[in-house]
Amino acid sequence: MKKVWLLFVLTVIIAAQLTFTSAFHSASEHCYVSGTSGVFVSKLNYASMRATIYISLSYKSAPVLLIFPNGTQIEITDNYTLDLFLPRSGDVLGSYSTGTALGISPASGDYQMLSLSHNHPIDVDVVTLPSSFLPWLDDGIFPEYFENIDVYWFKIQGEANIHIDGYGMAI
Amino acid sequence: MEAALSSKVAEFMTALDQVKKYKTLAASMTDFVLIILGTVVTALSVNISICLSSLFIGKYVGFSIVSSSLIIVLFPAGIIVAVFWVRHRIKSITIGQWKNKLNEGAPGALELLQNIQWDSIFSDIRYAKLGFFLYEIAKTLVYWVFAAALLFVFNGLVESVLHMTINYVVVMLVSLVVVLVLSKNDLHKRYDQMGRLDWLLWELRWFESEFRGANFEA
Repeated sequence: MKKVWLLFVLTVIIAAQLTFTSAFHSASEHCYVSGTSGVFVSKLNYASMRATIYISLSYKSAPVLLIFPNGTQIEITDNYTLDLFLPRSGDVLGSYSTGTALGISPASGDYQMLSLSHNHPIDVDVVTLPSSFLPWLDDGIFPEYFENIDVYWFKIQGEANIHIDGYGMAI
Repeated sequence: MEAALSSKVAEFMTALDQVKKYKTLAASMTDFVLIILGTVVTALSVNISICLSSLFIGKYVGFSIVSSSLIIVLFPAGIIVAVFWVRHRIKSITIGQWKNKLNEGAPGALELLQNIQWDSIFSDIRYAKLGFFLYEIAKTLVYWVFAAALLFVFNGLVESVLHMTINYVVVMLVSLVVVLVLSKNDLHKRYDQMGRLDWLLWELRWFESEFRGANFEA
């Protein structure tokens, strides 16, 4: 009889573990950039996220410039890795929790960027037209979007291969 | 006459020993499932720990690679432990204790027969049959899951090298067919054993009825 209870307990534990496992999400992006581009790591605010950004220079002789939103600039002359953690910063209630997708596109881009939803609460992107994309972010044209998401971004100038691994937990 | 009786009783007691083994095998089904579930809990716990440490400590490890490795290492280990545990339990059964008594000749043989709890034996055979069936299903299911996991890993390799994907339904069906083909002899053997248990049950019922109706004279 004790074994039957043990079977029951183990089954419940497995069900709970599988449910918990479904809270983990991953996202990745790999592309070649030249000129000015934007690297974006975004998440719904109830998610915690870690992203590792690998920047491989196409030509070691041609340095690449990273420009951060606060004005800081870093010139890199060799391969560069950036590891960042975006902590949980709030709750999303209402339609976001029922799976409504939140999509933000560059004004003249062909496809959607920052595609976030309850089923896809973390996202990583490289935007090739940051000039048309950034005003959306800076000017707060759609403040209701940005209340519920966290976005980390920087601009990159030069030729490089960018690989982003994003990994997060949404609870 | 006495030698014939001893021989028949020896044959009968051997069959009862076999029932004892079947009953233990049936009872081991719970242990088997417990060990497999314990393995799954362990694998998931390790997996969750790696996911959490990757996120909060920052050593990013490819989620799919870790999961696949865990399935490859932990799950077979669990199956091996479960199978060996069942075998160990069956091997640890003490059988043949009746041999000394049978060496006493006809009186010993009659004493053995008189001490048999017939109802308990019939119940044991029925229990053994049911447990036997469930054990075989559980074992086949576990092998199926393991084969499917291996095929999914293989599918991942095919996808990354050749950029082709095998349909999930096909993976599940192929793994089931592989398991059924590989365990064909075992399934056949178990089926025969279940048939023998049926036969034994009827023979024992007949023997019991004859034994109860007979008058023995020492």
